[in-house]
Amino acid sequence: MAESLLFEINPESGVESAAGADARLASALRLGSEEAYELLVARFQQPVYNLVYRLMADPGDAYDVVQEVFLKIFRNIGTFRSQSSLKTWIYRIAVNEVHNYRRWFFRHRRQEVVLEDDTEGGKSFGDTVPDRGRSPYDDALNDEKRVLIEDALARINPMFRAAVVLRDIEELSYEEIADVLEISLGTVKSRITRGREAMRRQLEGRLEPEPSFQWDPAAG
Amino acid sequence: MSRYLDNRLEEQERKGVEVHLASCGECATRHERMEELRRNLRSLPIVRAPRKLATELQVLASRELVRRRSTSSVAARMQFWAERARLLMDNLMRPLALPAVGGGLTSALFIFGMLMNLGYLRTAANDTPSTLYTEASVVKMAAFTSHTNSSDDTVIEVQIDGRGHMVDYNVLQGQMTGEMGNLLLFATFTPATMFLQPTSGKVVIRRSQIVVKG
Repeated sequence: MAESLLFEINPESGVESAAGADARLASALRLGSEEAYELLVARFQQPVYNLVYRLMADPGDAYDVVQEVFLKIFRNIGTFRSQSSLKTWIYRIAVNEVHNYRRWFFRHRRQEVVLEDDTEGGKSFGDTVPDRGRSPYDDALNDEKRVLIEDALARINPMFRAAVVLRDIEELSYEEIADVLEISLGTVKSRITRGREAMRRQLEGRLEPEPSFQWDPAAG
Repeated sequence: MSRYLDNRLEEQERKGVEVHLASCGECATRHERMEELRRNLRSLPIVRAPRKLATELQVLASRELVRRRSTSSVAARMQFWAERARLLMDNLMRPLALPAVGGGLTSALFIFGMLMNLGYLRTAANDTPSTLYTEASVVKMAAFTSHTNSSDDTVIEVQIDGRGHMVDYNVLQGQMTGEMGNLLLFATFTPATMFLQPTSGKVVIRRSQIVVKG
């Protein structure tokens, strides 16, 4: 019975709404459907990993944090209400787990000296999804730019970073961001603005502006 | 400007900003930089999740499902803990199982083989001596010449020591006569051997009464 909930389609419209699909998945999860659990992992493990990776100043522990996120999802699915989408609910858990990890880190591991191992700690371009439309020259330039941007992102205030990541990387709406961060719309706007400003200041002088080509009709 | 970038301004506000940007170089540059930043952020590649993460999460999901089912009722909880205890015992005993069985079986076979060889091995006459055990035997004994009134056979069990000397005897059947005693005293014997070493043993001597009629 739990499995059949996943595939029921509205016979009138022929297309299931996103909210309907979320509710069905949540119901199946609450009923303990193995298929629902598998579907949840398949659908969200990549986006959650990407989000957690971008939110953390040191992404080396993203793997562990993502596992904690999913454990929280499995154990708290009973508290999911359809007022928000499943995605924003899950993202909220992810943001909170990153915040919890940061607090734990500062309490317990800040004094440790970490020996950086570039082969394991840092992500190389090969660990990302490649863009086949770019040349190797473009890739080299973009790789350098990517490193600068990621570095700048890691340096800004975590609250602003979350807002910028959710807006400019995850492309959530202001309302969805307010739902994820559990803040008002006004605070969302403020954090996005201040986050972008902070990024701009970090990148000032380090990142060459892209050439802007303007057509001058007088030049013929 | 941030809201303008995100298209979050009312129509009138948006037009006002556009007019200002057209006339203010500094704000226009700032807007351009902000736009570029957003482009750069959006073009950051998706970080691929490690392959083993999906497996780990599936294992996590399975464990969570088991945990949920085990707490759904008292009976389910008891069954869960019984299975956990059984699994724990299996895991504890498994490393010992093969050595224990193998060692025990080997020991049993060895002891059984030893017992079989000690008690029941018989060597045929003129056979090459076995390394395990050979019985004592008569080398030389004079023939019986006297006659008895009894028609019964006489069977005597003689105890032989490691040097091949008679140390004791036991009449199993019939009667011991003086002649028989002398014959036994002057008989020579080969001692029994175990692993090629002389040891004590027994010899059974039978004297049969032959009656010739006619």
